[in-house]
Order: sequence, then C-alpha cells, then structure tokens
Amino acid sequence: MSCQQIQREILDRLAAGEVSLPGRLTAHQEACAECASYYRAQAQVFQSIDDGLSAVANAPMPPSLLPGVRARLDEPQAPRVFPFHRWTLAAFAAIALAAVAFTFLWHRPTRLSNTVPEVAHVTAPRTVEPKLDAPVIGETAKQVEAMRHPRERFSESKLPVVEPQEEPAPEVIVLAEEREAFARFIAQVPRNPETALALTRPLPKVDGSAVEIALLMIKPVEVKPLEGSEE
Amino acid sequence: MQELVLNPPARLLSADQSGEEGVASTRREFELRLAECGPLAFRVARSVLRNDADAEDIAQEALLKAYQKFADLRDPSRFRAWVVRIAFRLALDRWRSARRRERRETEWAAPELKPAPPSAEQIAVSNQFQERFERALEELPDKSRFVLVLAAIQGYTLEEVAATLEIPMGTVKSRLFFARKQLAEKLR
Repeated sequence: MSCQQIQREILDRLAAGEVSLPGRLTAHQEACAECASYYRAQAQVFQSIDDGLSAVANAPMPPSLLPGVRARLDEPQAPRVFPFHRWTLAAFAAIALAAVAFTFLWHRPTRLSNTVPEVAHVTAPRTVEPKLDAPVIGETAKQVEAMRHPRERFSESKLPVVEPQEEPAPEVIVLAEEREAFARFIAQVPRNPETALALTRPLPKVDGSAVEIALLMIKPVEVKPLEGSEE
Repeated sequence: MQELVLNPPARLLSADQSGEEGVASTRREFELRLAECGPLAFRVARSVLRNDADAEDIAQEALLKAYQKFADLRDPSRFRAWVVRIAFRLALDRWRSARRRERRETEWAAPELKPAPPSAEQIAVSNQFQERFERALEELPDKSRFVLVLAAIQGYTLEEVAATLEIPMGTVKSRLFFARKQLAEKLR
C-alpha cells in the first residue's frame, strides 16, 4: 500500500471513531515517519472535535429550569372556556359547513322549478260573452269585449287558460223608450261593425289646452258707386 | 419465601386513588423523571437551537407536555424517549421559524448593514478553539450537525438518536462519519 492509501485509511478510521488502528497500519507508521506524523496530527484534530462536541452537547443545565417547570405545574390552571379539543371543534365546524352547503344545493333547483306553477295560478277568468237581448256574434263581439276589459284580453292571450268559472252574464240596462232602438242597433252590428266600434269606443280625453283661434281677416273691400247715382 | 406483588396498571392506579392523593402521587413520580430527563431535554433542545435561553424555554415546554401525558408515559424508557423527541420537535419548530424570520430580515436589510464574515486573520487572532469549532459546526448542513451533537450527548445512545430523528441506524452512522470528516476538513 502506498502512503497515500495508508493516510486515507487512517482518516476514515478516525472519522468512524475507531480508537485503535489495525496492526498493518501501526507497522507502516513505525517504518514511515511521514505517515506517523500524519496520524498524530489527525488524531489530535479528531480528539479536539470530540472535546468540542462534548462541550457543546453537554452544556450544564440552567439552575432555573426545574424550578421553572415546578412553578408552572403549581400554577392554577384556568378553566377551559370550551371543553372540547380544538380538532374536535374544527371537525364540528367542517360538518356544519358541509351540511349548510348540502342543504343549499339540494333546495336550489326545487325552488326554481316552483316559480312557474306559482305564476300559472294567477290567471284571470275567461271573459264571458254578454247576454244581450239581441245576439252579438262574430269578431265584433270579441273586439267590443276586449276594449271593455283590456286586462282580461291580455291574460287570455298570454297566460295558460284556466277552466272558466260560472259567472252571471252582464246585463245592459236600457230605458224602456230606447229598448226598441237599442235592439235594432244590436241587430245591425254585424253588418256595420265600424259603427258599433265607434259607438262603444270611449271618448278621447280632452287635454284642456287652449284652442288657438286665428285672427279674423277681412279682405279689402272694393267700394263701387251705385249704378246711376253719379249722373 | 418471596411474595409475588402484582403492580396495578398506571391508569387503574390513578383511577383508584382519589382526588388530591392521586395528584400528589403522580407529582412525586413525575419529579423523579424530571431530575433525570430535564437535563437531557435541555441538551437536545440546545443541540438544535444553540442558545441557552431558548433551549431552557423549550425544555420546560416539553416537560410540561410530558406531565400532561404522564398517565400514558409512566414506563421510564417511554417517558425519556417521549420527552427527548418532543423537545427535539419543539426546538426544531422554533429554530425553523427563527431561521425564516432571519431570512426575511436579511432580505429586507440593506446590503451594507449585513455583518461582514470574519476573516482568517480574525479567527487566528481570537485563538480560541471552541469559538472556531462552533463556527465550523454552524457551517455544517443541519442534518449532519444534529446527528453530531445529539450523538455527543452523554448517556444518549445512537439508537436513541435514530429514534429521535426517525432515521435508520445505518443512516445515523453514515451521517456521523461524513460529518466528522467535514468538520475535520474545516478545522485543519
């Protein structure tokens, strides 16, 4: 073995904490002054390492340590505000949160689906044709009714139809002397629907603004002498 | 003729003993463990923190926690291992948080405010081996340093070091070997 190999082995054995070297290494040191010197130097380094480590690791315990522990043991312990461990509290909180989230998700679609039927209940009853002395038939009658009850017309066309309820037919009060004329008018409605519409349409609102009246204009008058008066 | 005495389990004993008597008995038993394990807890904490005041604080905390768990830890070997491990864990937590804080402060500090590293001349002038040794120890990787210092604690076996660090025995030995070589290299 070369001196380099011997020195490497010496270093490894000292680093491993071996106290004594094997015989062949000792024999080599007796013959080689350089390796013997190397061993002494390295052994001194590792001895100082052991001493230093021992000083660091076995520092004297501070005298206040154990009295401090005893004093803290003798301290009256404050009663716990909440008798559960913090992990138990965390578990409860997580369960509660999950329950709230589950309830919210479970009920949300149901609530949305309920909205349409709720609206569907708000339907107006279908209009009933007026019971008149003379029959009113055809589109005219519908138009007349629609103009009288615009809300009902809207509800009939837009919202789902609900079974009509039995309502008393509207009656028209007509004076005795006008009854005959009214009957004739009703009888003529199918033939002259425009007239009927014009009569049943409510009066246009008068907005009350002032009516502008143009100034009276008088054309220049040409005055002519009477015939035979200038003679 | 020898009389056979069966010791009741710790839990049953403490349950049978009523009130103050049970507490006093537990306290007496704990005092015996305290005298044995107090210095060890301090040294283990100091091996990580390298600071007497912090190590004392951590050792106290570990011993108080041990007292709270004393019903489960009446077996002396279990108690000792548990105290050492909890002291090591607490010390490691504090050391890590201190290191994080130190890093933040270093990042925010101006470069000129950083302390200059000591020169070779300064080290030579100081001529104090222990100071030089501790500086070399600080420069080692944390894993190597912990193994070195824990293994150097008197009465603390390599098996216990392995149990505290939660590493195999072979890993403890190899870390010790390379750490000693590194340290020798720095001190040469």
